[in-house]
Amino acid sequence: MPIQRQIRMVADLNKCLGCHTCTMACKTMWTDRNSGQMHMYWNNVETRPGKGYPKDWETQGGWFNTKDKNSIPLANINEGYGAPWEYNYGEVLKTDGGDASASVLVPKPEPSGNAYASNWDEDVGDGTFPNSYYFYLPRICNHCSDPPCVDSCPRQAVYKRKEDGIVLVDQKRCRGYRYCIKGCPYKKIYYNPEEKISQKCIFCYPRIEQHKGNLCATQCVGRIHHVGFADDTTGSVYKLVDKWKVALRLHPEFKTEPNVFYIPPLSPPAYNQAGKLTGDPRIPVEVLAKLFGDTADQSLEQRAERIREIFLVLRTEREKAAKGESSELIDILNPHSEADRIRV
Amino acid sequence: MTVQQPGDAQKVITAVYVQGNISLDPAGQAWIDSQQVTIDFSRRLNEAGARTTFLQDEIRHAKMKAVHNDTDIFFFFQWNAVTENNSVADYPVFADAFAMEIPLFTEDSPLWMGAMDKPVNIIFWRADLPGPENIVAGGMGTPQTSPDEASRNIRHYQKWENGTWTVIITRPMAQASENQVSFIRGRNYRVAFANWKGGAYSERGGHKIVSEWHNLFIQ
Repeated sequence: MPIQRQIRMVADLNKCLGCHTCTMACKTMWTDRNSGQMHMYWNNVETRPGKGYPKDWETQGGWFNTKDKNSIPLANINEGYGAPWEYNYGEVLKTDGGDASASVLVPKPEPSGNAYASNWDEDVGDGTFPNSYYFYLPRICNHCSDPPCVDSCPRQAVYKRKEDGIVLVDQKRCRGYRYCIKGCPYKKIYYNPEEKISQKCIFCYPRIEQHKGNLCATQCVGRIHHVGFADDTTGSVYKLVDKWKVALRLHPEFKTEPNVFYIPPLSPPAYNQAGKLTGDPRIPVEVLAKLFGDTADQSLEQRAERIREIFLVLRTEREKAAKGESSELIDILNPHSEADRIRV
Repeated sequence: MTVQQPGDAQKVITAVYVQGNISLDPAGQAWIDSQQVTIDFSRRLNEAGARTTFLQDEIRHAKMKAVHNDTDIFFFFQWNAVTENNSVADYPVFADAFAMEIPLFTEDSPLWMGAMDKPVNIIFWRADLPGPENIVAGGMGTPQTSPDEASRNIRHYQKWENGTWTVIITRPMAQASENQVSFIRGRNYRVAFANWKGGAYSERGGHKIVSEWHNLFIQ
């Protein structure tokens, strides 16, 4: 069934601080209901380069980009996602009735040999000093135009809303078969082992219905998000994606047509072996090209070229603004109010 | 309810009349006089994305008996299961399951979950659930657990021991709602069965093995 409108988000990675306020806003709003949701981060922020959450999600595969669907794994919570643990604050700190019987904070349950968790590799990144680099990548469900989760569910429990393109799991129809989790190459559908059903980012649809922004966007300290409808040609989402063409999709080669877009991160210049600054960005464009692009059929070279183009546009417009000239792009990227960046 | 003639379906199962109380006990007296039928499971449909674990030409078997006391009907099932899979508590973990399917009000509902105008009534047991579910389906992908309180009238016994599942399912013979078949004495019903292996087999949903239609006669 064709949808009438599609809601979209653009995240400006040049402004993401890695503070996880979006994650916590989402978590406290939607996924603190029972122990089956504790490992769920409908919104998460991961360090790139890195393994992400769940661990190595990019290599697990999905419905449209895996030849043998049988081979798509279902990771388990402890090793693939990481069991949430607590620290023995009560034994170390005297505050709140602690007894200071232990001198070192240790996690409990203790992570196993294959320990992993959300942000286990935070700020690790890649590269060699002085060219070490990393950046943050906030991720929610992409509410894809061709959602593989919808395609993979044999019960039609996953559906895409006509009015705004938000993808939802009907909690009454879901029988916990977990084909949607295999289907999603972004691994943005989670399994609730307590309720025995799948759950996912709902793009805060009850707020969208009241013309309020989704919480990850409204609570963002860096105000990195733009939210709006794809056909609203006067909105900042349309202007960033279709007019200025500075926002790209994450892994478009997964063939799902995501509706979350990213402005790739600029970075300071890298040093050469002599210790002199070069003209190359410290985050190699080739690294970014492995993540971001426009369409499924672009080559890595074409994607890298697009990223260089975007960087040129961003720099050119920034210089214009610095000289006191007007720049629509810079005005959009520096919104003065929530209404400037969120229009739903 | 349309009367079925024995011989329409592959095998005849007789739900034997037993006077008095019948307990949910596999060693109970009621099962001694009842006739045992072997169900052969050989039909399957591989859903994309499901692990292809069925062996070539794999056939599974279950032993079955049925008794009633004019008030309640009891179904006894026993089948081999190397491991007990009774949990769905993690992403890759699936539970063993068993189901029986009866046309809800037509005699010729399609085997694969019925059709919109020819729905089926399913009693679905899964090892991790608190009790069997009453389900109505009108085609593949449509099964729905009956939401009404009255249809939650199915009780059961389950035990896995030494590589064998024993499951007994009982229900009042009279339908508790329009979502259930009434079992009436002297009548014949088409019935088919399905089996899912959990654990490493990851069978769930349409990824299962199904029997042909059998004929259930209520003595």
